[in-house]
Order: sequence, then structure tokens, then C-alpha cells
Amino acid sequence: MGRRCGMGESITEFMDRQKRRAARFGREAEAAAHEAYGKAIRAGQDLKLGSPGDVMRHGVQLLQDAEGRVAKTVLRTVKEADARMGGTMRRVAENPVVRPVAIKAAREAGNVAGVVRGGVHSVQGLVDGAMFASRLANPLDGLTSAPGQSAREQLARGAANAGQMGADYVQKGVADPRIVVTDVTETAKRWRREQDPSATPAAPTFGGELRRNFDIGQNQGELAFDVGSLVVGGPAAKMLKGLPRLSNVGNVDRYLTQGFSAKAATHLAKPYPGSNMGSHFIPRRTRLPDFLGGGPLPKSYSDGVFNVLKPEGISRGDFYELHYEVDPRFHGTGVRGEGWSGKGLGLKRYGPAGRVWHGSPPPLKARISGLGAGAGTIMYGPQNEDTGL
Amino acid sequence: MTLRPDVQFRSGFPDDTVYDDDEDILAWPGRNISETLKAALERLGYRVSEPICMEHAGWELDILHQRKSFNVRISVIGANECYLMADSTKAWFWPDMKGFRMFLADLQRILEGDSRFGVIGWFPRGGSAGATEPADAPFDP
Repeated sequence: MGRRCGMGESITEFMDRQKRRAARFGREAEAAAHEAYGKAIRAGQDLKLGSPGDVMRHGVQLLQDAEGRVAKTVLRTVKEADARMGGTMRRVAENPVVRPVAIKAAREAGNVAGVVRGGVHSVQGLVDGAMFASRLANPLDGLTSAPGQSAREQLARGAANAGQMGADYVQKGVADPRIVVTDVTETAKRWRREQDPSATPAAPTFGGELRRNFDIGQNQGELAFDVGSLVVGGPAAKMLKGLPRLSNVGNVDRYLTQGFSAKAATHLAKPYPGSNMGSHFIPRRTRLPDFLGGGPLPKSYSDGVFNVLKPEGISRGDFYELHYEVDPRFHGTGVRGEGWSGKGLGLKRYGPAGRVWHGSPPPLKARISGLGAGAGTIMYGPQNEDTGL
Repeated sequence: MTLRPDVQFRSGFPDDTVYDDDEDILAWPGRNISETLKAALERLGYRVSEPICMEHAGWELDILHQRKSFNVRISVIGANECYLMADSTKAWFWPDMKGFRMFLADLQRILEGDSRFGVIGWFPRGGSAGATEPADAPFDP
């Protein structure tokens, strides 16, 4: 089933669109030239278009002039919008009550973005690690790799290098302990600059200060994610499948007692397919802020193990119940011509804390227990003008 | 002011679920409703994606309008229990409540102008008829 048919497009779609645009441009150029020719005749002007090539060239010139005018208008509109935005920023910057709120909001937005960034980096690490491990296990890797580049040789070289570097450092430290003290101090300073807003001077402009706080917020978010990695390593997190649950796969009676027909109950008692999309902790529709590109979340994170809740061995019926309990946007679905309604079954939804705990995939829970609560609360916050969306 | 971005409605649209030979679902219901909504929003000047399949959760539309970004999900449980849920999807700094209110007002106009949407009521997120007192508008004037 085509899952993504939205505004993002593949290279093929892009090329097709460009071809269509070129064809349309040709037709428009020809039409513009004919229109100009008609006007010239009516106005008694001398316009010589002796060949189809002349017609096309003249039409292209007309369209390019028009495009130039449009481009100038767009540029002027953008400049006006920038000026208006600048005015808003100045008013916020000058307001002693709103200014700290905006800066705090920037840092908190950075926290969430940092969690995402940490997740993306972690997933990249998992993929790299998995590929490396598969090469290690492949007996033909040594034959198919360039000399000195097999996984075993790389591993041996890396271990040797790391060991040698460590030994060198210890030797230098024994000879001159100030090296170690300086390094530790410098590392601590760098960490403080990256994590503590008070460790670096405020930016000269309000916009710069927002950016500085967002960046520091991001570093804090990623740090929180990485600290979790010390407890549960990357590969271990991927293997973590969650607490054992009572499986209702095959338990048709459970769904018959809920009032479904035998056909629907049988369907609900089947395992929830691993290929299905599951429930997203941070919703797929979430967009990044403009200064981070404004697009959707990276797919590697959005559809990755840290964001998709899809417990193994769960039945379809139980998965729908779990989804209803943790996602306020899921009310129910159709099952073999019958309606599956969370409200109809008398299910209760979790509150914000329950949604974060039960709605987050086990690897994410293990890695960012503290900050995940903050992210989840933002994502599932109440629709209230006082608190934001 | 509390917004009510979710609507429960009765559907006058035909069931467009497609099953395979084993009666597993090939196409989930509600695509036709999403396409109708897409066309109506485009007539109002919105840029709207093709319907995005969310499997058992329904269909979504990503919507752009004057640098504002919205999302709508359509869920069909049965002809008498359907949901439309709207979101503003750029809410990181200062949520654009004014833009979102205008979008909800446009949605309300579209639903009220098409008799196939039998609106039961508007609800805050997570609500539904029976669980929350329904309102006849997405926000109070």
C-alpha cells in the first residue's frame, strides 16, 4: 500500500514534474508569441516571426520578461515579510515579560530537537554497527574486501590503535601530569559551554540569543539521550522488546465476548503484522521548525525503533486497544465490515504521564526516561490557547 | 479559549474499503472522504497533499497555506461513527492560534456545506460524542 504520497517526491517524480513543466513552458511560450503577434497586427506594429523557431524564441522572451517581473514581486514581498517579522521580533525583544519566555521556549524546543538528533545519530550507529557485525560474520568478507579493509582487519587495527593511543596518553600523563589536568579542564569547559546558557555570553541580537538557546537546548537534549546509552547500549536497545505481556493471539473468545462476529473476532485474534506501521510516539505529521528546514522528521527516526510502538506477539485487537489508550487521535477502525470503537468498548485513555509511559517504544523508554516525558507532554498537550497546541 | 479540533460525523459517502481474496484489507475506508475534503480545501486556496494512508488509523492530508502547515486525519469506524481531526503542525515556538482558528473555521464551512457530512459535534482532542458535551463549532465566538 502506498504509504507516502504527499508533498515529498522521489527523483523520478521530480524529473517527471520538470519534463511536464518544460512541455508546459513550450506551449505557453508559443501561445504568448501568437497572442503578441495578434496584438501587433491589431495595433499595426511590425512583428516579424518568419519561422516556428522565431515564434518560440519570441514567446520565450515574453515569458522570461513576465517571470522576471514575478520574481521581483516575490522578492519584494519576501523583504516586506522579513521587515514585518523583524518588527514582531523587536517588540518581543523589548518586552521584559515576553523576552525570557521566548528564550525559555527556544531552549525547550531545542531539547526536543536534541532528543530527535540523538535518536537519529543512535539509529545511524545501529545501522553501521549491524552492517559491520554482518561483515565480521561473513567468511567471504576477507576475499571480497580490498587489502587491509576486511572487517576483521579493521577491527584489529582499531583495537590496536585505541590501545596504543591509550598507552601513549598514560605515558605522557606520567611524565607530565599537567597534560591530563589541562585536558580534563578543557573538556569540562567545552561541555559547560555546550550545555549551560550562562557559560557563554548572550548574543548581541535577540534573534541570535534565541538561536544560541535553541542550540544549547539541542545539546542538552542529545546529552540526555546519550546518557541513557550508558545504561542501555545501542544494540542492546534495539534488542529490547519490552516487558512480556499476556498474548491474546489466537484467543478468539476474548473478542467474541466483546460482541464481534466470529469472522471479525478471528481477525482480531490474529497477530498484528510486523510490516504494519504501528503507533508513532512523536506523530508522523510533526514538522521541524523553519530554521531546521521546516520539513518532516527524518524518516530514519520517525519510523525507527525509538519512535514506533509495535509490541511483538500482540494481537490485532490488543494493539488497537493499546493504540486507543495512548493516542488521543485514534478512535477506532473497521474490522471485516464491523466497527471497532474504543469508546464503544468502554476503554479509557491514559492521561499525559500514562501516554508517555505506555505509548513510548521500550528502547526509547530505556534511553530517555526523563526527557521523554517532556517531549511526550509537548506532543500530546491539550488544545488550549493558554498552553499552546 | 479551548479549541475543538475534532469532529464526529455520520458519513453519507459509500464504503470504499477494498479487500483481497482472503478478506484482508487492501485499501482502508475513508479515502473518498479525504479526496472530497482535499478538493474543497484546494478551492479555498490551500495546497493539499494526496491522501496518506495511515492504515487502521485512517487517512491523512498534509496542508499548506501561506507558510502555515496543518494536518487532518479522517477515521471511518462505520457510517455512523466517523472522525475528522485537525492539527496545526508548526507549533514549536509561538503557536499560530489565529491561523489555526481560521483553518478550523474553513473546515466548519466545508462540512456544513456538504450534506454528506452529518456533523454530530466538535470536541477537544480526545473527546467524542457521549464522552464530552458536543459543541456545534470548533471554538466559541
